Amino acid sequence: MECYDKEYHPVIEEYITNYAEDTLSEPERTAFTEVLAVDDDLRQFAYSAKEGRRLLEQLRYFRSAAK
Amino acid sequence: MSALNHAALARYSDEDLMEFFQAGKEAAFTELVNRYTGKLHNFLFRYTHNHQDCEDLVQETFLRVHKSRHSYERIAKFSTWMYTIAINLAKSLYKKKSRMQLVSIHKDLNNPDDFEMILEDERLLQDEQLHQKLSMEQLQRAIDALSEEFKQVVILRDLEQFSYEEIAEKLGVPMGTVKSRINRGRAQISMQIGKYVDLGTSF
Repeated sequence: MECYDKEYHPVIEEYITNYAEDTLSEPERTAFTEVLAVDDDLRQFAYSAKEGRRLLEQLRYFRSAAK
Repeated sequence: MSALNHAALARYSDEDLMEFFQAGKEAAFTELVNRYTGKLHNFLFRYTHNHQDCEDLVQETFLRVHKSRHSYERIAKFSTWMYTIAINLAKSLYKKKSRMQLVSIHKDLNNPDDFEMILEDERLLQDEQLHQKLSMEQLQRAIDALSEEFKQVVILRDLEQFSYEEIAEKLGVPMGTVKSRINRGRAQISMQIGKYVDLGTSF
């Protein structure tokens, strides 16, 4: 998808990573959510990254349970 | 939006419909129900393998969507939000059922060889294992479909749990690059799984 090909500023990339990992502090989270509300591509990208991370966490869990 | 008939509503996205519904337009909810009942049923059948359970879960999912409409935020795709509700309900049902045991009522106290039998419902365990197996296979396929540079960092971070610093050092690339690749790798995996869900629900 197009939004995944976009390059964002390293600061924004860091926000996306922290958003996906739920490590944003409260003011950061609020600020980032406001940005996401007005940027459709970024919102879709950040949300997908978070969803992808959740899926991978599940895979890791399944694998460790299968051992 | 004065005339909210089916034809008019059909032009709107799921997320638009949720906004209308949040604003009190019940017809928008009906449109979402019409749009998703079949898909949701097929989706849930993968998990339950039981049509009656599916019907109950579909009803319950829409009931939750109705009740929780104000907790939905447009930041998420409506379908993802709704499927998450459905999966959580299916998981709860599994947990409830897995606690159930079938107990034989046939026990002859005069016969020392006639033991009361407690039977685990193995079918449910098999279903859960099947669900896990399918999920793992799909995820593995999504990982395999990534380009090498994304796959490498996603595996190191999310499966092997290395820190960003360790990954950057291991690969000899700046930390910003590692984060950027991980973001894209994760997003693409989510997209691949989304495609799978769409395929799986369109028959």
